[in-house]
Amino acid sequence: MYTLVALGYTMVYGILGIINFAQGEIYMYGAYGAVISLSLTGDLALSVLLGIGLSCVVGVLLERVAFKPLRGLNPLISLISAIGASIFLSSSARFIFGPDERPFPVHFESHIYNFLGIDVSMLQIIIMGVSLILMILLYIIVNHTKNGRAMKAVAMDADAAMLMGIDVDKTYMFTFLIGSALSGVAGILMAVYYNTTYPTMGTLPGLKAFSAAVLGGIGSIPGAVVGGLTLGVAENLGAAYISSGFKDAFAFLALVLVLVIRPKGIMGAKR
Amino acid sequence: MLVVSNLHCYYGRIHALKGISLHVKSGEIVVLIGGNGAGKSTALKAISGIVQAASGTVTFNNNDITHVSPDKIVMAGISHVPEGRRIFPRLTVEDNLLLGAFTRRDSSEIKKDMGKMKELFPVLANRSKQYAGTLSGGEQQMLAIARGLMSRPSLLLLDEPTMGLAPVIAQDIYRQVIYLNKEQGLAILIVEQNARIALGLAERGYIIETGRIMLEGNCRELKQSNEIKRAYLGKDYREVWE
Amino acid sequence: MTAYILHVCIIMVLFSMLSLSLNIAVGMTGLVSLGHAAFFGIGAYASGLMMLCGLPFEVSLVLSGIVTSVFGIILAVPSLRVKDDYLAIVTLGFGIIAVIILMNMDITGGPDGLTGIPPASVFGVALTSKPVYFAFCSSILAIMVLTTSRLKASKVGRAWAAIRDNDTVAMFMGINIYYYKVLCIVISSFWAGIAGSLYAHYTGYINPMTFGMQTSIMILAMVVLGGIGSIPGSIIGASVLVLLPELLRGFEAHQGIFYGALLVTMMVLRPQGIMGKMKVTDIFARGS
Repeated sequence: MYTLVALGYTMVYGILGIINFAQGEIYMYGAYGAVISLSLTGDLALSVLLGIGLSCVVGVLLERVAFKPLRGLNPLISLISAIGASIFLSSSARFIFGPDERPFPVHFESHIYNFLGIDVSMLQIIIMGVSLILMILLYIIVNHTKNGRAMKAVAMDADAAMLMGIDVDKTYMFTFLIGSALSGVAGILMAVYYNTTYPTMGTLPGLKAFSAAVLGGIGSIPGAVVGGLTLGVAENLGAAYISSGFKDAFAFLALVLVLVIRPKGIMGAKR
Repeated sequence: MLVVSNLHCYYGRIHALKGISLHVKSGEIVVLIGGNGAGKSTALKAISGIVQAASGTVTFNNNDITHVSPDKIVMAGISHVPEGRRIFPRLTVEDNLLLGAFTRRDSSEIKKDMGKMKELFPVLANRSKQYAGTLSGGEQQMLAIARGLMSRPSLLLLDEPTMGLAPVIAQDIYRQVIYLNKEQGLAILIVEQNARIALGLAERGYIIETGRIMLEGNCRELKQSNEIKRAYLGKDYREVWE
Repeated sequence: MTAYILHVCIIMVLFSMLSLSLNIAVGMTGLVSLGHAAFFGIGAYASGLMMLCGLPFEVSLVLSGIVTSVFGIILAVPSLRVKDDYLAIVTLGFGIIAVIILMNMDITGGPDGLTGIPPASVFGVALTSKPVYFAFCSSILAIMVLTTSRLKASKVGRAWAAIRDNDTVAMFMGINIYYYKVLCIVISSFWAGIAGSLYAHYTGYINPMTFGMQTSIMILAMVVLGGIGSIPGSIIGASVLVLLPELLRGFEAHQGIFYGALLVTMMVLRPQGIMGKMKVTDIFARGS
């Protein structure tokens, strides 16, 4: 579940070396975009596109305003800027959309299937399917296209990339665009799944997704997938066998343990 | 083809270039000689657009490129092989070469050029699927030059291409550089600390000190200049050299 | 009205302590923490619980600082294996875990928090009135500023600065970087604990949410806003960020918009902070 947002984090961190704390807010805007346009137009496909579009716009604006001027400075500065942006975005969402929860306007009838004794709903299958497709797509973009190569080059050595004739600004923007689109999709899926949207819906998933990205090895795409899955399982097992009150603690405990024991993450190659 | 006139650059608060002027004619090898911190690398960076000039102009084939972005400069035909090689260590040799051709869209020609690079530097052919970070220093330098050539430049900027390499390998690299110049007519501007190698290589040279051009001329004349002998070649230069 | 102003002033002083204590870690030694509020919370709970058990204020104030330092050491030992942004993330994780633990323990009152914490009194003199408490907190802040600036100029301060600038080189110079990092956390968490204790006895009521990530981030924002490594900067940063929401009272729910925008603008326009002399880039050169 966290995997998609984790992918967004991994992209942005891997390429730009900054922790985009506002990733969770981009996720929230995606969900709102879809919910609102759906209640206005009633067209599901269009609304999903609009939601993703809104995420992308927010993400790219964020890069321009809050990150671009700080490039090359200490990551701490970008971190504070990201935190500021995150506060700004969630407060403006409260201002624009109102503080109340909004349900997802279309209710999905969900069949329950039974696989090997595990109940799985249609919705869960769709979410997993979409996630899987996006991951494969992302993997192809990063590893087998010219833009993907440029992204990796910028991540390794931005100056040298510039000497190759790579437009570094455009590459950063492209990275943010993809990261934001992924978060937007994740936001919409979650809004459908839990049938609700609210201004702070992005905060905790954002942090956990970040943990997932770190857990799997930040900057690594398969790592983000593994991290997301591990986190989900650890959390639910912990909640089931120890105490549900501590559910959220497991995500972060896992994060701390992994960083201290194996800072590279499960699949990480860098650092 | 390249004309730099009265160029001033700042690195933060440091006035790194205090009005340098130089030019490179097509098909020529020109060296820029100077000690640490003289401003050699900054001059190259200002030409390739990585460092912004405060004043002065850079023109290339009669077009003003002073404030043009680096990618446009690459497209115009200037390729800069940076100091310290700066290859992309966690990409394969092949990916590094492809990145060199980033601004080009003619994929069949790019493929042909990849083949040429592997001919020019045979070590790269055997290692094309290897991570560039696993290459030796000399191989990395060759990769960096090959990568620079992949954009099909008409002017190549080389920043200390033999720094930290064994003399034999340095010779190898310079042999290729001369080949590129003689056989393919590529204009080359080289930055070197080692005046002895540099003056033996090029037709003309500039001596740069603390951001200013101190001397310029034909390499044969420069070699004779007493000042050069004293400052860059050592007192007993004559005995060693001849 | 005066009571309200004094209230804001006391909060300002307490947050100045927090931001200064964090600055010891971030600005002087280069240890970035996103979980500093947890120390604040540990101090507050420790002190509150001790006084509820009948210990006098003077004892619980000092003990809460010591208890917090002990927690600091416990957390520092594993955390200091990582550096830079990874350290920031580990501390973020610890901060969140601390809140969740406070939320789920019976002794801390769970999500309801601790109530009925007795007010402070020193040697029989009650510090219940706001002006007196303000004076008391201010004098503790003054002691803290004094000792911190002495420390900064001492051998310890130089060792910290060396670690901040380049810990490998510091190691070559014969500085036991591990020892000095732990020492730094001990001092930093001690003061945060003291601030927590003062806070608990001021409000008489504490709950876990006060010590969450938001607060940690706010403290870090104070440090960065005021200027990393600058002692007066920490106090100014804290004052600005405490005052700002008060000034924006009229907008209530939307103050986050201004607050967030201010942080971004500040970082973009003046990343070295209000009082910072050095550019932050100079303080932490990346990659070296």
